[in-house]
Amino acid sequence: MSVIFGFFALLILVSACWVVTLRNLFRAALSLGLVLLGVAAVFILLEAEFLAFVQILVYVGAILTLVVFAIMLTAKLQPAPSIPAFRHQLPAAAASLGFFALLTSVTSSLPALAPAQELVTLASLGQQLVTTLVLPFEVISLIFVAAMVGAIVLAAPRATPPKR
Amino acid sequence: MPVHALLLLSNALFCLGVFGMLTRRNAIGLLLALELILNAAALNFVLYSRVFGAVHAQAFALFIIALAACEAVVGLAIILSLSRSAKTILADDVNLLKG
Amino acid sequence: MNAQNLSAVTTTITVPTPELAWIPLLPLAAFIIILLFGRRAARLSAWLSVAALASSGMVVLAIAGGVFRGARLILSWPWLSLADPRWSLGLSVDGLSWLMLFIVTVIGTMIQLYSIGYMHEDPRFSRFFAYLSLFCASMLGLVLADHFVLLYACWELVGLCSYLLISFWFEKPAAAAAGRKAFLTTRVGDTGLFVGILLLAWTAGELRLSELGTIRTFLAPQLGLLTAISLLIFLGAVGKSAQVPLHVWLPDAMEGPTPVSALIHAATMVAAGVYLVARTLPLFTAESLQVVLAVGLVTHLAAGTVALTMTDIKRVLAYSTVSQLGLMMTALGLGAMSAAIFHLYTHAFFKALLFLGAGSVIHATRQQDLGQLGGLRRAMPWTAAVFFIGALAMGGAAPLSGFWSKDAILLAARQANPLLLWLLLSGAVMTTSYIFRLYFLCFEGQTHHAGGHPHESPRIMVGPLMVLAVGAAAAGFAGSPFLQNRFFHLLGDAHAHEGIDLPMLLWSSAALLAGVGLAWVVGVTRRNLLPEALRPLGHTLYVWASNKYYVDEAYDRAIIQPFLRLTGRLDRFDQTVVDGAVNGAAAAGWQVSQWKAWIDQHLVDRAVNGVAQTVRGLGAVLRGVQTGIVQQYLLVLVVSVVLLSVAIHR
Repeated sequence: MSVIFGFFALLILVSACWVVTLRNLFRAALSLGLVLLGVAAVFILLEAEFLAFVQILVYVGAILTLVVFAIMLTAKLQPAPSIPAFRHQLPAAAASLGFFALLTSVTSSLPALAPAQELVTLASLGQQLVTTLVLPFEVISLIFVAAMVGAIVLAAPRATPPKR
Repeated sequence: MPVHALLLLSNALFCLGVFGMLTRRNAIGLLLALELILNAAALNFVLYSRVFGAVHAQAFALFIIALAACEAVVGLAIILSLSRSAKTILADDVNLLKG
Repeated sequence: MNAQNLSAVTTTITVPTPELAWIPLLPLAAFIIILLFGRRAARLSAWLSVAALASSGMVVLAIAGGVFRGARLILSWPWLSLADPRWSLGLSVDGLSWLMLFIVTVIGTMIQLYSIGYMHEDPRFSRFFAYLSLFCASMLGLVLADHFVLLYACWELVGLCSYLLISFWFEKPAAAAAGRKAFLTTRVGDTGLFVGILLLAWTAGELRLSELGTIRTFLAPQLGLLTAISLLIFLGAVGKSAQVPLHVWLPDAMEGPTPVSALIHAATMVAAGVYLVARTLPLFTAESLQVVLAVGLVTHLAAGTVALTMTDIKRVLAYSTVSQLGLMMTALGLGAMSAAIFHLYTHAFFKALLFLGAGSVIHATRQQDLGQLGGLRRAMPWTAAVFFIGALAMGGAAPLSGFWSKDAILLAARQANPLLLWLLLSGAVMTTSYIFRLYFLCFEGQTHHAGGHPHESPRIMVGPLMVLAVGAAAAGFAGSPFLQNRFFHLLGDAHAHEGIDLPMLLWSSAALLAGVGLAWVVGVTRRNLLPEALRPLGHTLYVWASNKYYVDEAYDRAIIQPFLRLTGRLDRFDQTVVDGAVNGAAAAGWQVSQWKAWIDQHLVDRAVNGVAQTVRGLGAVLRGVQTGIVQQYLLVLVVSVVLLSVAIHR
């Protein structure tokens, strides 16, 4: 268990580093795919198979594909290699390391609880989604509609007003 | 179950995402880094759903994935329309928010 | 023997066997490793792929003992935390799946070894082996699956791999088109299978393949439903196993590299359909078995006649595969599952042999038109010899493998209907005559080859040919009385005939001789045997067969062109009616807003501008902070969160 976990944690961390440091965006996107798969594997280790499923289907299958599309569509606009791909690396590193230290100091003081006896079953998850969690669920669908409308408006070619 | 190790993992993932968001000049790169941050959050949700046997936590991890989909769609639409109008995808060349 | 008896046999002891997971995982691991690191070490990746599949083969051999004792080996794990055993995915091995595993690993290993020689100049050498590994892994998974969902997943993976491999040389437009055609055509069948699985889940609620007998008894009162489900499953098999009317993709699939054709035709893709029907045979009702029988028979005879007229060496073999698959389906339609699987098993050996032999010829001469080949026996003695053995085995010459399996099917046919026996015997004459026509035109007669000296292929290609030749010659003994019909007992068929049926031996040998004679007289010396009166009819038939009965043209006219016309019409509708309505509404709205704009400008703006002037003065002061660059905002945010929390912590 711990060996498998270690392997996937390493996979996630290494490929997350690639995501933020690789110059080539296409490779960065593929490394993001590795991160997502690794997280899905950790979900399975945490016995949340359904979420792992959704993670792979939606994240790797849909979102990542979308990102890759965008990278390919804007490939012509990639800046010349002479322009640096990154900026403010030192202050950014300092800030995020500080943030990491802060987060870790908080989380390390949390008690290490033993996992619960009963597992979260898919049936109960589905039930909650349509009973107690029905409001957030509906809000999410509203956001979906808004996002779709917004995306269409943003990405549609500018229409010329009808001439009079 | 390695609760602390998992927390550490998600912290590291979160901070790598923040680092990426601060340093990347390319707008799509920013999106990629944002996905890291969202994943770190989802990881925490799932971890604590396992610890407490809480259904809600898993449901919210599900919502995070759904939100990530929305965010990717809108973000990419913005990038596409930027690339059409401004002919650039370098985030620091875009200053529409400038007062 | 009917379907009910078969399902009764499968209730045996089960033995948990964790080793089963290794069988598909080893080639899958090879696929991943080669995909990630293959480009740097092409040669090594090929050997890795071979080694992975060979090790899977070792595992298959290691578990043979239990299977031969009649046990069912299982490996299952709960899934989706549903606490319902019906959704636990699992692997299971009984006699049938063990045989399929054996075929896939043995033939697959040989074909991969051969590919090392065949593909050695290809720039995407390692990628090819990655795909081959995935192909074998998904086929192994399909055979091992004990759950319709897992089976369907592997089924689609097999389809995907065939797409990738058929259009492996995607620079050739024909290869890209062939891959697309294969994918889309099998998709029609896959949809049927998917609907069938959904229907089964909806009505029976049980999708484990080991519980098929239970499903059968549960659904037995609803015979119509059972027929529908089994026919939908059969539709999937029709697509995958290239039966009429979905056979059109297989001959086009010849655009892929020859080892891929061999793999598709012998061990993986098309075998999946036959395996699916054999596996789900308990679900088939008498009516649906009639359909299976009819489709199989039509495929067998029609594809046989087409194979007689083809002039491309690989297309002859392609149509011969379609025809032989039709024969297997015929046997399944008769309920003779063991005979069908026996033929699948021997066919895998001789068809892989024939394809790889053909590949050897193509590799040596860069030529696959039969008119340009001939007399190659002198230049390529080994290839010619093994091809001859393969042709004999396919024709069903007495002790070779094809004889035993074809005889088993003929015997089943004789029990069912004498007319069927005659139809199958005429099919056997056709089989022999097209395969020997191919042999004669390729290896005998005058040597005339355009450019280059044909030479024997390298040792890495001839070696697998030898092994397969031995297999094609000897594999049939497993189902012969000399080895106590062991093959049939493994499949749980206790009714296997004992001893050799002498009349059948004579009839099939006569068919063999007639076929060889016809091949020589008509195919090579080109003499027209028909009497004067029948010649126009014969010519028409020939033209029809050599044009593959115009199936592609019919599809084009009946499906593709109307579809394109429909989309064209929809496009016009969109542009004129829909766009017109939208534009009209927009124009009306624009007019209204014009009036509003006047009010706005002259009344509202005055008031607002006054307020704005005041705010602008204030805004100018704060403007300096707003750089507009989001990342700077974020940096400020992060730093201030850190500082604030440190401060609060104090």
